[in-house]
Amino acid sequence: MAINHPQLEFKEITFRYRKDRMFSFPSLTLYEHEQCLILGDSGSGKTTLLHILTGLLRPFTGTVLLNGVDIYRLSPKKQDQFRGKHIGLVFQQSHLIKSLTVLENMKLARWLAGLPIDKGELLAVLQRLGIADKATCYPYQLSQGQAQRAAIGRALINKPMILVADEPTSALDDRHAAIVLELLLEQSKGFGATLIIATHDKRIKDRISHTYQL
Amino acid sequence: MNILLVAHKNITRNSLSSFLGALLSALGTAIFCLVLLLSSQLSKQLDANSKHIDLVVGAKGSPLQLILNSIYHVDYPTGNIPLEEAQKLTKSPLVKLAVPLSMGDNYQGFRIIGTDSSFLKLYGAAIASGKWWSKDFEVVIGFQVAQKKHLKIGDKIIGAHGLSNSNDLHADHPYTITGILEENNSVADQLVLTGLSSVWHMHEHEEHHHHEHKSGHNEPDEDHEVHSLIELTDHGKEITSMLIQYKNPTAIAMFPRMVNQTTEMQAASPAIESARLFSMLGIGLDTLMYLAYTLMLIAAISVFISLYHAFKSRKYELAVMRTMGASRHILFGIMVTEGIYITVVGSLTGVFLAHLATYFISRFGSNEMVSPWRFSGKEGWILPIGLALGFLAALIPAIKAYMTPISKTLSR
Repeated sequence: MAINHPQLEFKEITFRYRKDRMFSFPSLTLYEHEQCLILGDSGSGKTTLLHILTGLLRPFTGTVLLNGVDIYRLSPKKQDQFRGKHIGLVFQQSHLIKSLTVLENMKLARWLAGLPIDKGELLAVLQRLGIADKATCYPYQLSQGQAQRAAIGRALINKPMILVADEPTSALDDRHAAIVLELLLEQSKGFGATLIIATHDKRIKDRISHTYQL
Repeated sequence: MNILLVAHKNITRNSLSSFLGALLSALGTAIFCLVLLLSSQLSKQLDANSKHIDLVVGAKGSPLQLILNSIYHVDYPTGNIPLEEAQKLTKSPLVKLAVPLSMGDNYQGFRIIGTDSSFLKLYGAAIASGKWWSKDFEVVIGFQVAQKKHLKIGDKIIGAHGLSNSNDLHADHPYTITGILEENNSVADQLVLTGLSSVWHMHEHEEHHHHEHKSGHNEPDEDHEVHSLIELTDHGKEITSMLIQYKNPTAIAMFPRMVNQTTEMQAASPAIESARLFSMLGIGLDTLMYLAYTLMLIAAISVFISLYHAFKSRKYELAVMRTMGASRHILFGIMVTEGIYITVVGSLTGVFLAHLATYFISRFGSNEMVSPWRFSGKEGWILPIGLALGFLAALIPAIKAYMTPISKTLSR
């Protein structure tokens, strides 16, 4: 690794829902291949921060730089495109599009980001996640674990700079939580993405280098 | 992957409510299209058949009936008129062309018309193969008659009594086909033409036949009424009616009045009578049109409701799509495409249903005036109407989708 430059940087971010509820977030810089855990109890603003980092929610003050790009300075259309290409999101429950098959969900992610679709490549990703045989299944035909794998696959399909997971394990038992965490670590490394996990799940703590306490 | 595919997938997932929307717009469009087809084809047929005919002279009675019978060959004659009287009219300087018609028989539902060669001139018809008759009991048949009954020159056909299919055959006097007309796109295609004297001879003979018959039995004769349509009286020969083409427009004002006032016959104008006929039919057609509009409106409302429900249950998915890089415009586009998809599929099905209905009308209603394969120019409007309905129905859900706040929806 020649020069390690910051992948994600955010400074002086504040946000308020109403006048009386003001959040202010400490600044943070993350470099390529780093992982970060955002810890905090529910109501501490984890999801708010994640949404601000991923360009879904404009902060009240402060800047978010992704690979040097100030995402809130982009036009709305550019913002959408940037998000599709460079940011992968995983939710607590897999939110695959119900009317589309697993493979079509992957294709949708490529198409929405304006990237070319190579079926072989998509199948290879599903192979890596161990759900290649589920390519033509609809989300309701998958087990929770398979659906979570598919969702991680969809988040990584565009080789994003950062992979952001919001409470990916809190609904799972110990064994499955460990599997999903392993999967996130392994796949984000494999795809070269900076991993950010927001959680109140203490089981995850030991596996990740940086923690960011809210 | 494109908007249409995503819309298609969403619609097939909600297949039941989408189906209802498509069904309603199909029904609305089908009625709309059927009314268009029937009214345009009827008026076209009415015009084509009466194009060169300025006046019909026949026995007193309903003028509409006289027109229907002598021009469109659908109703029964009003009675007979003496040939001599009718011929007097043709000597008028106002008359360019006069075609005598004599009817009373049919060949398997196709009317056999006694006339002369001026008939061809009036209809602008020509013989495609064979020649005009030269003897009694020779006929020239219309294009459709030859097509539908697979007839060719030299074939013998047997007429039957009355104006519609019956079993009372003239088996002892077959007609020989000497010619087949070119397709004329008028009622001439559906007729069997023969000389006036053939018709007279047929019934002259019939009269005798019947008298013999009657002396033997005493049963009442059901067909007697039809027989008497063409009767040889002591005064001379009779015909059913006479089609007249004027020499110049001044005749319009004078000639009908002259006929109605100075003779025992009546004159009826095809233009006036078909306008009257159409205004009578028009009320029914208008009512059907309103029904079609109502159904289309209900279709739009049903599509709106189903899309609105779909939007509500898919709000989260829409927000997820935004996180995947979908712009607001794409979500708007998907919603609108879904609405248009349903109504356009419905409209196209409706057009198909309307043509299917005209097929059944022409096939089983033995109505030769409508053809399922003819398209009305106004049908071109159906696609834009379908598009507009779908767009309007989808507009509110699409705006809602456009406005979906990502963060708020996801954290709910």
